[in-house]
Amino acid sequence: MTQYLVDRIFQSVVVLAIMSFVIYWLMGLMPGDPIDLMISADPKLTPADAARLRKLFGLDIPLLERYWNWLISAISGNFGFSRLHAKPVLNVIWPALWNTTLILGLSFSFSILISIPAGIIAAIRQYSRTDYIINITAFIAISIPSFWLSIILITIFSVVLGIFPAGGMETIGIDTTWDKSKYLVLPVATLTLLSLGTQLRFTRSEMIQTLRQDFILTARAKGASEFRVVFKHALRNAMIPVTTIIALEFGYLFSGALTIEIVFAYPGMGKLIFDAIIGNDFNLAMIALLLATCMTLTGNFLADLAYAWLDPRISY
Amino acid sequence: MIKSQSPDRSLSTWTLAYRKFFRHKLAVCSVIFIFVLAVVTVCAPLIEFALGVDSREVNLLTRFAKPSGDAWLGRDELGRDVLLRLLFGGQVSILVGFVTAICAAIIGTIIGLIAGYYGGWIDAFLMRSTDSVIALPLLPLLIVLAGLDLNKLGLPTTLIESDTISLYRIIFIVSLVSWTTVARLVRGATLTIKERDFVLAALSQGASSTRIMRVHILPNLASPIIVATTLSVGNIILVESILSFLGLGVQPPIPSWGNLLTNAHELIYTAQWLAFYPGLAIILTVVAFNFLGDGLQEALDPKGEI
Repeated sequence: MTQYLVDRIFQSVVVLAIMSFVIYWLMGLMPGDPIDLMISADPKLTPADAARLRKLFGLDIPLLERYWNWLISAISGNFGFSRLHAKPVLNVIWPALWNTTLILGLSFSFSILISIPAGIIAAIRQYSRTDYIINITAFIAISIPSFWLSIILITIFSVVLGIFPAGGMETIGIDTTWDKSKYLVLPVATLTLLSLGTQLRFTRSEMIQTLRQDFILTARAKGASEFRVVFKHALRNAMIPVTTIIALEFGYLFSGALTIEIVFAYPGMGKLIFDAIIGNDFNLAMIALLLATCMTLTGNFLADLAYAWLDPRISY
Repeated sequence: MIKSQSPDRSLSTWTLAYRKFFRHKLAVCSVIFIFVLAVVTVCAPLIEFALGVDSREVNLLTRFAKPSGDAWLGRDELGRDVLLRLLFGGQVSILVGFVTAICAAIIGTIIGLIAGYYGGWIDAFLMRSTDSVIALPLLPLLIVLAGLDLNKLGLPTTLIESDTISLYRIIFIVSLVSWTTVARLVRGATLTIKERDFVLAALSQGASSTRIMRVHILPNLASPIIVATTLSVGNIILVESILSFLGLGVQPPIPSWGNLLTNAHELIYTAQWLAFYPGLAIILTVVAFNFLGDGLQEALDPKGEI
């Protein structure tokens, strides 16, 4: 187990290192480097000036060497300055990270609270009308484009009914929890619906498979109540793969949150990454992307750990 | 092709699959839906020609026109027929979904076959890479890839300036990240199939590795690959729509279901119905591909009841 843990952590670090280089390289291939931006902003800048600036900022040295310099300063804690926000990168990232964690955490809890009971019900009553409805809901949930669902919810609840605000985080001048939570309702609802589908389908199919196994037959034969069979015997076994999928989903949800944050103008990590990439804010985009990679890698790692921890039959 | 000697009892795998598939009603409905959709979208230029209208023609006098006899779903912010735009958008979205899924399946099959067949460090390396790609935040990465400056990549200018570059680009970048499911499936199946006797027989007759992979292993992988590819089409249509919606995928003037929604977001207070149709089209198509994949999975599963 320790060996496996060490291997996995090592592997994640390698992936992160490779990704940091790939992202660094890709950033250099984005349209308009910093000097181009200065040239377009200042018509008096001559090519000689540009060349001098390039030298000054170290843009004329080879890619690998530049990456190495960046890496050294990043490891020593210097992540640079954000061009768009005119603040050190970390000061921009922390609030965004907190905002994203807030909506991800909320919607994640809601979707689990809905999908697992619904999945169990569908599995117990397989092929019934309830099962059919739950199944179709799940299918639709995995097939809805996230941004479209956001737009439709804004149309219904903000434009037509006027109950919830269409976007943002808080009303300027009002600083209450109630006001802030009103802004959270629609993004969280969208994200919950999005993550519901996979969890629902997975819980259902795992429960159905477990309920077909021999030890369930044994439990029934010895006279265990249906409640006990379902919750004690079947659910505990079915939950093992379900937990894994849920942990894996976390990374996927991060991508889902990106579009939702953009549509709702919610200042989270997704919107931050998008704005940074579109706005040529390389320092910020670099760190934000690496952080996102870190988060999904951790999600995957936890999924594997949960798998081994929950299932005594698995040993690494 | 192997012809069955006793046609009365033994049915071929494909006949059995065919029969099982037709019992899955939703899947059959999905096939019909996809077929009709494909025909209608492909015929969009013909419909346009028959009606004598141009879906790209801007007419500000008729902007936001309500649905009527001459434009069934009304007109958009530039006075263009919404239904026709939807059909042309569908053409692109479905094409991108299909081509990308096939490209991804080809990449995945090659990687999975090589990993499963050769084993050892090649397998370890390829599978660790696959795991790593799965563990990446895909959407942010796709945004970076979609934003790259093609001039800096050294592509010929004629290609970069062509109208269809955004199509090639999205197909390329989405295939680059969607091959992982197929690769894992193919690798797993290759591991078991390569131990079978017929592979040993082929080996003993001196067949080369490529021949064994191509002739003996690959045909046995057809059904899992078909199922995974079908299921991925829906997902890819979703990814394409998100990127196009963000302005990073298929670029206007080429319409796609995603970029039809880019403006819809800004028009939410004036013309809500414009946002409705492209989204509905995406959902129906993606649901249909998912049902179809599900149906195929059941039909092609040899363990399933007959």
